[in-house]
Amino acid sequence: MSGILESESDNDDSLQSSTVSSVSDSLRQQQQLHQEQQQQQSSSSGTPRNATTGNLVQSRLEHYSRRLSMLGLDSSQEVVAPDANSKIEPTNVIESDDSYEPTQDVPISASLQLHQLPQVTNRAIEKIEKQASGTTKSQEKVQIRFQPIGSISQINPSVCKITATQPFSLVVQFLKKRIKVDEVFCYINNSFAPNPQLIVGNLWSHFKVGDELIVSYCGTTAFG
Amino acid sequence: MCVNALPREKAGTTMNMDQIRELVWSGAINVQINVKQSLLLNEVSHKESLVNVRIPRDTYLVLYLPAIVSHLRNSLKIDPNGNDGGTYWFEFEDVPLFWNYPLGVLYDSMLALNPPGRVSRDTENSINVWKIELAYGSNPPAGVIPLINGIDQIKSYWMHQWKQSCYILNGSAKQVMSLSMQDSQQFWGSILNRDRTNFGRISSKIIPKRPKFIPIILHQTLPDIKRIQLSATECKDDGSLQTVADLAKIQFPEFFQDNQVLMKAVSNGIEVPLHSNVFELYQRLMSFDGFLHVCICLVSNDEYGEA
Amino acid sequence: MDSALLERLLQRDRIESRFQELFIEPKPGPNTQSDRELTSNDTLTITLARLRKELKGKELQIASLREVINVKNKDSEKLNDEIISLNIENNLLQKRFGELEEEHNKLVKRWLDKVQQDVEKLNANLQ
Repeated sequence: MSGILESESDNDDSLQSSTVSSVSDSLRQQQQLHQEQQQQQSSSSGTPRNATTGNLVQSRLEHYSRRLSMLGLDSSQEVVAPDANSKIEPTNVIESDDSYEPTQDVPISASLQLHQLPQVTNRAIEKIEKQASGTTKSQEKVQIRFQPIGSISQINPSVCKITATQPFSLVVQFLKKRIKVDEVFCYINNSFAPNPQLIVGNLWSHFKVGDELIVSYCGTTAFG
Repeated sequence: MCVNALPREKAGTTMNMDQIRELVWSGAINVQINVKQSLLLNEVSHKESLVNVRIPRDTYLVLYLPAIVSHLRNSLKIDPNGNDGGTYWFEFEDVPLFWNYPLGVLYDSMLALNPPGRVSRDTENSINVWKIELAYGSNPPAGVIPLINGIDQIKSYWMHQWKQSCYILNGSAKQVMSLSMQDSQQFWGSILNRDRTNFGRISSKIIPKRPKFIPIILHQTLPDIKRIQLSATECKDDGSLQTVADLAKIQFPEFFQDNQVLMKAVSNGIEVPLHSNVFELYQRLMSFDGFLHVCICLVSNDEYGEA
Repeated sequence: MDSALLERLLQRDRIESRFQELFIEPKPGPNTQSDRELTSNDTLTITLARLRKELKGKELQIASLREVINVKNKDSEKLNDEIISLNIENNLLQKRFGELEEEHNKLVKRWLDKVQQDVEKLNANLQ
């Protein structure tokens, strides 16, 4: 028990909030009281009463040490997480931490119609919802080839995969992070800039060349 | 080459088509724009917090944003001319509206419009108004494209929509890229000035008589909001003309059970027959961004009972 | 098809155009010259812009002050909890102290009594 307390007080150097140091101060005081109590307990013929009060103090001490350790663990976790992510990720897979699919709520006025549908339609809708929750597991990926235009830096690797259900905006974000720029203009087949909300799988199936969706990119507007 | 392709030139059809295009172009919606509470100064009356406008269906609502804000400038907490990195956006019943779709399309899809239903409810004194909200902030909701560069950004986006639809129609964006400077400017100008003649003239340089594919965007509202972009072929594999029903059956097979059809196709505020062939429909009902927008609406219980 | 489309479009317009006279038809595009005249450099407009800016600043200030109050409230709650628990500790320790003191006194008395007894025994033996 006192071993844990000692390591907790080491954390005091890194944690600088006033509340924490006041907790640790009271902890130290309690620690001293506890030790004195233990000494007195060993010298006197301990009555059962001593044990219970000792337990109470001990449980309070345990409670505070738990709180401190929780605080200590939290701060170290925040530091570790981003590093872990960037190490695990294979370099040619475009992922996002929150598998972000732009979904909107249905406006109330429209959803009122759901109460006035024939039974057949209600059953059909149930079927659709079931299928939808089933297929979100499928992480089918499509291939994208990046082609730089002009003096902008080349992305490495130039071919990446992304989950088909993601919006195109994720591709642009990924590109910006990789080549470390604030602004980039992306075009499909050197022809047009697509609506960033469009789903990549959709774009891929319509505009793919061979097996890849060709995305050319530039630091300034290239195709109008 | 379609087996059932009808000859393209027919005097009667051209006149009818012209009338249809005219109605598509001039269609407009009554909109009441209410400013969100967080944007209003404290003592603004209810009347001062809204503006009633009539906006064409075939345009982007945000093109009218300067005029709208100008009307409301005395009620706003923020400086209309200030540039603090914030952006405006619109909402309908707390659902953000994506400015990059034509207003008519947003209206039809957000309401899951069922046109015959609206007709049956209509009376002499009915008024058709869409009540939406104006919001402002530096963090627009997910999916809303932030408007950082005003009109120029909108024009640029619109141009790219045309390049995309041109690519789908022709296999390349050449027809748009090779428009003369004057044509290009007049093309955009025709949207701002509501000049159907110029729009028609220039768009006919882009839209081919025999399309490679047809650019369509399907808008689904119920049960979930989804937008699906399609490049439809004019003809199917068996040589017959592709219809709206064919496309819908592939995307929403659950709504076609046995011989019952549970959905309708709505475009430009009207119900379009499911057996219409896609290219003819495109030529008549395409929007000013080069795409044919079709909203999916579900057959109501009453209609189903009557069928 | 065309006649059906035409009929439906006209019907749509009948519904969507009613009372259109109540609705302003704004012009699209950036603000025109006439509007710009209104946003000229006169003192009222300048003051208005300044006041708006100040209002925004004040609102940000309020928000951050609210946050500070929040944090302080949480802190004071924690401190109160600590005070309460320390009070409990103190009470228990006081009680314990009292008991120990009593016990100590009892033991001392016993010892003194024992010593007294021993002394008396010794005295008795010596005589």
